[in-house]
Amino acid sequence: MNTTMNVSPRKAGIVAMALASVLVTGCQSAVQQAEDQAAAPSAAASCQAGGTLTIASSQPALLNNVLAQSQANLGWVRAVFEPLVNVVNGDYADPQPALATEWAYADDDRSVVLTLRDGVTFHSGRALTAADVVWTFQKALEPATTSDVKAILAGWTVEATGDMEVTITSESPLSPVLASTLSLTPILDSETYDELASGAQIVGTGPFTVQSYTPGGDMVLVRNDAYWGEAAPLDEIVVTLITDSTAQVSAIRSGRTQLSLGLTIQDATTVSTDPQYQLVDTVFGAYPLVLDPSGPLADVAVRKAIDMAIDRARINEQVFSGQGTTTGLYWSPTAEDYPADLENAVPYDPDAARQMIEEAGATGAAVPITILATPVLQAEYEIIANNLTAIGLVPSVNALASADYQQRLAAGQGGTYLSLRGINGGASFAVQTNADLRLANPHRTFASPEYTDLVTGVVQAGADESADAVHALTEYMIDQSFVLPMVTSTGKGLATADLVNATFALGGLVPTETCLAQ
Amino acid sequence: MIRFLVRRIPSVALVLVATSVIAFLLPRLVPGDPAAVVAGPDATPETIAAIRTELGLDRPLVTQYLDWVRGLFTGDLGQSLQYNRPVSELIGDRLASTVELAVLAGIFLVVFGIGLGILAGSARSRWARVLVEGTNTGLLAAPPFLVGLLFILLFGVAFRVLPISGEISVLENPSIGIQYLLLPALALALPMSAGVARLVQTRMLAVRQEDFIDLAVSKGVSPRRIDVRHVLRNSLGPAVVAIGIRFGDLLAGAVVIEAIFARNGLGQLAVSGAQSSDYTVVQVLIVGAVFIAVVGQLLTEIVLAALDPRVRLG
Repeated sequence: MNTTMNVSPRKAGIVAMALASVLVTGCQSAVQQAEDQAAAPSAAASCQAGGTLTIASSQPALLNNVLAQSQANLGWVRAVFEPLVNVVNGDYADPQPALATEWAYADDDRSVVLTLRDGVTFHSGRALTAADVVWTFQKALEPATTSDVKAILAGWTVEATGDMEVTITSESPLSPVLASTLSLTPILDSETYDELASGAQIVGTGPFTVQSYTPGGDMVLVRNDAYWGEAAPLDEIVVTLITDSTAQVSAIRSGRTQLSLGLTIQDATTVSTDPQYQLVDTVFGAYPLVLDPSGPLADVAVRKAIDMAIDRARINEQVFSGQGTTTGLYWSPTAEDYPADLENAVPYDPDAARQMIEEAGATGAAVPITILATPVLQAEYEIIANNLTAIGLVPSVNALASADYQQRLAAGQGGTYLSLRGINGGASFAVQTNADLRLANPHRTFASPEYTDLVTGVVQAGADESADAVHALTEYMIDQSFVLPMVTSTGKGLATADLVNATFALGGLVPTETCLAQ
Repeated sequence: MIRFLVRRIPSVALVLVATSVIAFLLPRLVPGDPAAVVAGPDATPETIAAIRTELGLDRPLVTQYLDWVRGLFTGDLGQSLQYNRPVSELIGDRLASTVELAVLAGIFLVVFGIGLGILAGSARSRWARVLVEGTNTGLLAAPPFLVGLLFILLFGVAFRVLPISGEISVLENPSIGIQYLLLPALALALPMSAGVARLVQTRMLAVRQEDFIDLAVSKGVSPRRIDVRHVLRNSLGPAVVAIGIRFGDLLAGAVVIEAIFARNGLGQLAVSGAQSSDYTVVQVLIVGAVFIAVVGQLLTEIVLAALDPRVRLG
């Protein structure tokens, strides 16, 4: 026999409605609260005084990496830690004064005297002196310190030649690398440095001080009222960790955040078509394919064929939403010695490439490619693999997690790999610091006496000789086809339209003038 | 029950010791070096080696394991390689977020799972039953992340009635905190509740065919008493076991749900720890997850014994 249970729909409905009423109307609305906090009218030129800027970061802050440029620290590190100069918009020839007000090169370009700004204090209240600059550069050189410019600093002597004066001498010309090197080395507080990595003390000289920090979570910065410069318009900056790109879009759409850093370019460009949002430029980078000249790739004709077979325009459109450039050059186009006449020197010609592969007897040759397992590099690989297959090669992928990828590359065991590097200076800076290009401890496996000579020539070239030296090196790199830049692109953040003056220098956002519109 | 628990101590201890060895070795068997992550993309082998020494990763594995286990007994869970902070502090910062989510999702799992099961197993109207079963089937087919994304589109973009990003602790501000919890908890619980509901429904329909139900009816027992005391009580056993198992799934599902609703809980810590090879964080989270699963299993057995007199703890 069947029996049934009587469930009263009316009672259930009353309970459900009561619950909904209590949650949605009876209590304070969380949606309204978030909108009130973010409330700001649409785009306008003038700044409102005060306000909170909430930045979504796709990676947690890395406090042991403040001496290196890192996606994890882009949103906050230049608000707290300041370098001697700032390089904005890739203008390496004309850096902006920060903790240094003046710099004078010697005639031979092998030394420079920097004058420090008076009246600068750390957030602890201690005054900045030349000794702090010397200490910071020594710290950056220590083996366990992560610094992008260690190779350059190794050739420098940094001395305090006065309380507020520092003299740098170098074995090679300084002007091609000084701005980038100084800009990527913020001055640290020697008294609290030991507690920086744990976040117990985060003390810099910047326009914002750290009010609270949760490791792997949020960081709250408040305006530094004792700042040497004009007070920043914003009251507060909150950097919150949102790892998922879709969740970053949800956060900015819901009004929780005003700036998203680290979301995919596809998400950023899709949302930015809405006039309520805008794309902001962050830092410049390159996505090269670095070839291992062994096996079939020992033949330069095979490497050249690969160079000609890859459809860079398609990579740019499909992977970077058309935001990058495909000139085939590794250098920053804003550098004075940029060899513009060598752009697009290698044509996209898959038919000729196939013929070259056949003539070299490399048809069917295996081309294993090591990549970092990220969506961008995986998508880039898919197109490259398709192109290589079309000319008769047999590509395969070895997608690695970050810890494995970086360990293998550092050990010179990456073979042929897809790379991602920040471009933070001219050619001389790049060939000394960039692991795809530098002579000491490179990640690439290609080496030749000619390359060594040409790189040395670039490093030793003075201002007058620099353009010729870079041109000669670039021609050689194009001839040898061992580093193939696929796309160079400025990173993109997504911001609400009311965010004004979100200026990124090398290292990250400099929020001295950043504000929310009236 | 105390006797039951005491008898289980040796097996629980064995499981935890085995887990600690696996949790310690597993992340280290994965190729890669956490020092390389800390060192950054342009690092030289010298820098990586110096950081390895600084992090203590160049010590023998046995020494590292024994130090860690010794620390566990004194409340020291180790030091995060990525953040240079005690692991206990990192977990403590996120525990409330994940517990709030898991508790509310657990409540929804029980309420919707058993509620839908009862409705499907007892509805008089054919159409009502079809509606409930259709809902159930739909939920069975939808994974939590899909339900979460649909909720975001529906309640966060189309009709902005609930927050879809971030969190505020319920303990800090109950009325706001619960609103931040509702959508993630529902997204997590609803798909899982469908499986529980299907178990309850099937079991209820089967129990109704039993002779003792006919006997109760013939003795004039009221339909409500038959439903509650005889049908429902005898139908809950499989559901209780499923809910116990699903509790572990709630924690696993929280990884995805935390990511899409931008909650910074233990799931996100586990993902970040795995991505950066932060061994010390990952190994503690693995042991913790196994410990919770063991406790959940013990509780399931106790509840089963309370529901069914034929089941004896021992």
